[in-house]
Amino acid sequence: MKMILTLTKNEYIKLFGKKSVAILLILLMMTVFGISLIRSSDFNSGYYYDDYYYGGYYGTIEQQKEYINYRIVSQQVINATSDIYQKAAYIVYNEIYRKQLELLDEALELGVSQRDDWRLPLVMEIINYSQDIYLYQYIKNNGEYAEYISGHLYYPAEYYENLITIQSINFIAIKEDNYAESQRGNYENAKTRLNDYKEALVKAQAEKEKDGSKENIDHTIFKLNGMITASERITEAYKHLLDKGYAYKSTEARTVLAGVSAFESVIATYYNLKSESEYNSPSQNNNSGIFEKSGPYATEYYYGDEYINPNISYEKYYKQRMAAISENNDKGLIALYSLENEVTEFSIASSARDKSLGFVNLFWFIAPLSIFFASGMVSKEFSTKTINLLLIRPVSRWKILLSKYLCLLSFVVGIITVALGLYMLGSGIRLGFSDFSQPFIYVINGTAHSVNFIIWMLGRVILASIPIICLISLTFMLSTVTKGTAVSLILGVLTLFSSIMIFFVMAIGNRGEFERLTYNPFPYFSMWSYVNDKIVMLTGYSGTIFSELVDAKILYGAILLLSIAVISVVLSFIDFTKKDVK
Amino acid sequence: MILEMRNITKYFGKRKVLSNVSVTVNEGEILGFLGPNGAGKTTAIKIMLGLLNADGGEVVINGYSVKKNFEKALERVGGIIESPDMYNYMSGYDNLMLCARMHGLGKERVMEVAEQVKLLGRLNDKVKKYSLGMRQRLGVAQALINKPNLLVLDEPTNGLDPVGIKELRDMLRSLTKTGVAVFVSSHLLAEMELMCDTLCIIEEGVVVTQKTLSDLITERDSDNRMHYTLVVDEPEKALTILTDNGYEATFAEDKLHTLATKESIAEIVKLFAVNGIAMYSMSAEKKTLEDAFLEATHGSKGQIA
Repeated sequence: MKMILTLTKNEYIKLFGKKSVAILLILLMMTVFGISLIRSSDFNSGYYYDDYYYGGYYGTIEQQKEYINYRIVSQQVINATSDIYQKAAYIVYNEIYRKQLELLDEALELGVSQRDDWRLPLVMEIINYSQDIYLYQYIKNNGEYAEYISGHLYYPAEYYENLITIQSINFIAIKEDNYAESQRGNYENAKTRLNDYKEALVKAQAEKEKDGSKENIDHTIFKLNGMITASERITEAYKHLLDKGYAYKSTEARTVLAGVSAFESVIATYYNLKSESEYNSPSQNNNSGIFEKSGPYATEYYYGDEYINPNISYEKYYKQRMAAISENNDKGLIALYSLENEVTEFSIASSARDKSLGFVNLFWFIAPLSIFFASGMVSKEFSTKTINLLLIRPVSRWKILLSKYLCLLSFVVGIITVALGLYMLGSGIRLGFSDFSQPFIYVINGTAHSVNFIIWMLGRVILASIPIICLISLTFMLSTVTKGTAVSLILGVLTLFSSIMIFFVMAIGNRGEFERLTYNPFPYFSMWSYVNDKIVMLTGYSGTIFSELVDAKILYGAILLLSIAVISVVLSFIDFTKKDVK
Repeated sequence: MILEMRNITKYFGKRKVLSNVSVTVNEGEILGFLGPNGAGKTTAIKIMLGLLNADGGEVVINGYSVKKNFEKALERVGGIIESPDMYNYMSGYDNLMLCARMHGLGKERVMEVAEQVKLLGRLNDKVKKYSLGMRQRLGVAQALINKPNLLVLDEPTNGLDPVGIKELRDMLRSLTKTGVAVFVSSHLLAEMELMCDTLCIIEEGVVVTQKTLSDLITERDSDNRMHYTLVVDEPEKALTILTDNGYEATFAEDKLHTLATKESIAEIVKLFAVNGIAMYSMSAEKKTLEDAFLEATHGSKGQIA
């Protein structure tokens, strides 16, 4: 044992005796630290949900006023019109436009004009709905021309009553500058919808009892159950926002909206989910009756048919839809967990944790470098003939090889450890160390859990290191058996890049074979690219070429690569201890 | 007996490189392993030190089999194989420390050996800056680091200047006085002649002869008779006396030539004295080592064929 440590020390002295090694290491560490200091773009995490929630860009209040003024028709035109219906419309709508202008002036008085003011999109929303509301109120109050314009109302009265409630809530929120309160309307909507779904479920169950063999009834019940659960969770998320009065664009408010958005996607996916018979006869209406009558808001949540690849089987389609549901459900559950436990999910704002996760991508630098070190480990001794000096000592050959392998292994592990430390240091300096005290939230079987981030990160890095361990063992074996440094280096690097090349090879004419690909070792040689895929992020999207095609079997890959590593090491030992040194 | 090679046979593929090679080296003995290039010298040394596996036979060093008990057998062995290659990018000191550590030794021993091979002044220079002679000396130093009782040196005088060669020779000589056995391979006859006690001549994988230097260069026939040249005052009379007494003798160029053992030469002297023949000189004929070597290797060719 002592001898092996001494020999390993010797190997380190030989390794660090070379200037090139020191230079390479310094370059690597500088790169790692430099990258860690670059602030990650806000592409993933900075995207604010309100922006698409309200439909994007609106322009300023002044622009809106100009637009409405343009629509106001002069009194002369109204007086000249002989058609009473047209005249009534002119008069009533002009009044509505004037009310809208008043509303906009009031908003200006409240100081709502800045583009980044949260109230701006809300004012625009009120303006959007105000036409309907004023029209409804005019008719309801039996205004002068009400009878001529009653045909302009398309929806039942409760729809407009609901709008009035919500928009008045919104207006109060604007007046009080209370962001959380502005979401009460959405909360109320969500509650209404939940009740609609529950009613629809009761109805569906009754239908099933009456006629158990009714087509698609089980499918409908299944869909409704999923939509009810998601709706309940949406109300739960909004309740957090309302109860605690989170500020606009605060981390918590973002979490609420991200969670809501995730559950909305779940509902949408369930809504559009086709039964097998529907799937196989695309002309048939997706909605099996119940949804059309499930209350005034049902149409609001009609998301349109998704594009369906006609070439895939129903099983595959169903699997894909369920995977989408599961991913969005997990996202939503993470949001709820972080709200309940008052922790921040890593992706919700640009966090040091979020940045740290990018570390594994640096393995694209570390892996070739490690292969480079492994390639010369044994073969260099042969090419310089120093092997003769090494092997005529009273030390068994296996000890010499073991010390070389231990040196290589510990050296590479050391590089990864130091690089990880530097990277996390840089992330901490850039984005704050306190963020590391926040946990990592994950979901297993529909339940959210949390774990210490540092521990979780270490686990991820260890998993990502497995391909490097495999590659250096493989290269070490090649170096021992072939005694050629260049050959080992080239083969080692080729093996590494086979993980990408295999996709180019398979891309043409073999699309269906990707599933089979997950059973061979090639895709796993750059497994660090996939270890983050299994992370459900609240915001942004994860995914690589590989994960979009098929699910990487990470655990299987890890075991496969470790087996290759062990076989390589065993082969090296057999070759080195038995073969003649010519 | 420190080193014993017993019937070593080695094939490279189908080619038989060594055939039943047996060599022994005793305490305090310098054995020269002599053979033309390609005779199998380095192969034999590599088998001796466990770098190659023999296909037959056994090597025993200090009583331990190299194959079965490698660590014990090599414990007191130092060697240079082919050329004394070291890690060029490191200093001589670092190179020696690498070797020392493998024997559980430290800095003190490194300095000692460096002084012994007169390398102290340049010890901290990188090996790539060393001359061939200095590298050779560094090679000797690493071989001596563990105070071996068997030194195996493959062509140690390569690149050494005459002064260096003499120093090496003197060093080996003084080492043998402490009981160290030395196994030196070379194809340089003159050096071997000056350096060695015993010579082992190998050709085409076969040991042709292992004899002490004096035995090798002194010509004897199968009855252990040597060739003597006598200068006497009455050669014809002397020739008659010799032939009458049963000695083979000839007369040519005013000199008598005869074959005789050490014991019988005394008898001849006595015979001449009794018969009143004056003898001016008497010498046993010696060959040069080169003659002996060529003779031995040519002979072996005949034997193999």
